[in-house]
Amino acid sequence: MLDELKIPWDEAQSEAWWERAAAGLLSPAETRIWQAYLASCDPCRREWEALTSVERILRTAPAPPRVADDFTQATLARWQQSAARATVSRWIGILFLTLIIVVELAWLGHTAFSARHLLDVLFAGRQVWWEALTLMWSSFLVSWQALLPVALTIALLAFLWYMPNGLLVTAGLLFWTRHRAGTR
Amino acid sequence: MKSQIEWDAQHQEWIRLAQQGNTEAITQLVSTYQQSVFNVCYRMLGERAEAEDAAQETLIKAITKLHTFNPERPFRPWVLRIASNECIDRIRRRRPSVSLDALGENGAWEWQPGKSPLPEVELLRREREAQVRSLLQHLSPLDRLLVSLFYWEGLSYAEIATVTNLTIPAIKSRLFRARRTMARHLNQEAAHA
Repeated sequence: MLDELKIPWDEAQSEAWWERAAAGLLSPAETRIWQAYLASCDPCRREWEALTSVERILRTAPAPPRVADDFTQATLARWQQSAARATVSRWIGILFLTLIIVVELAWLGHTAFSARHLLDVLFAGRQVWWEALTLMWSSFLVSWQALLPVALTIALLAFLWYMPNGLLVTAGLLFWTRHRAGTR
Repeated sequence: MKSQIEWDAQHQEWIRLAQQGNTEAITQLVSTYQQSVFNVCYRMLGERAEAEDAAQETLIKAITKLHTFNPERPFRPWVLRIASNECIDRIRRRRPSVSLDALGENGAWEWQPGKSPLPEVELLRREREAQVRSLLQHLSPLDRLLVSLFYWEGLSYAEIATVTNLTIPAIKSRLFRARRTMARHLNQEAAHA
């Protein structure tokens, strides 16, 4: 029958045809072709019937149960609890960071011995910064605090910022070594 | 009865006030969208207790992130998007388990007086519910979400696109493939029966 209607088999079984047929988008002529296709193919007809059943099952599925009467109140109570927890965590975080900054400044002050010298140290004293950061780094390594990753990142960033010459020298040495190895 | 325009204006006002932290407006938004969010979670997770938990988590996230919501855009797809992310995360984290929600002591569902008008009606409803759940479990979380939004939440293709970040042709195609997958499983079940 498909041959009589001159329908290519591949086209009739393509997903596009199935999709259009399922969505009811076939023209009357195409519907006849589609029906002929289904009549000529038992597995396809069975699948088509199952597809129709699925559509019916989904369309007539029972509604999910209603939420409990106290659902809104329970949600709001849970939200308030989580908001309170978040506030406490935020303040603890701020406290720890403040503590770190204060300790570091105190250490710098102690190292510089005088308040006047402290400003110079803060803006120009790489050596003192480096000592303070190394000490902070090693003390965190020993005490293994919860904020260790944060402190290490800050220390590493500060190290990268304040030690560009050392990095440049290291990178230069590496480049020179590889270049020499390559030319041999 | 309020007209749609009045309701929309009221709704916009709730969102505006909720973004400023007004508890009454937040309560209104939660009570308006809780059932919709729960329905999507229930269809995706298949368990009432977990769906309620996921729905509450979704609504809390929505309240917390409300300042990032653009009031000129529709609220429902936005909140359902949070729900879908929450449910997909839970499905990924989930270990294989058996739901004991509807089972009695001997492993069969038991009718309880006062909870349903007629045991036959309740039994039929449960059978249909189980059939839907069984069909949905053959789908990926994303396809389950698409089916749920399209068939039971009545979202348009454009709204589904907002929720899922998919294009409309992709949604149509995925929905069709999901139906076809379910049809094949239905056929297999019939053959086994």
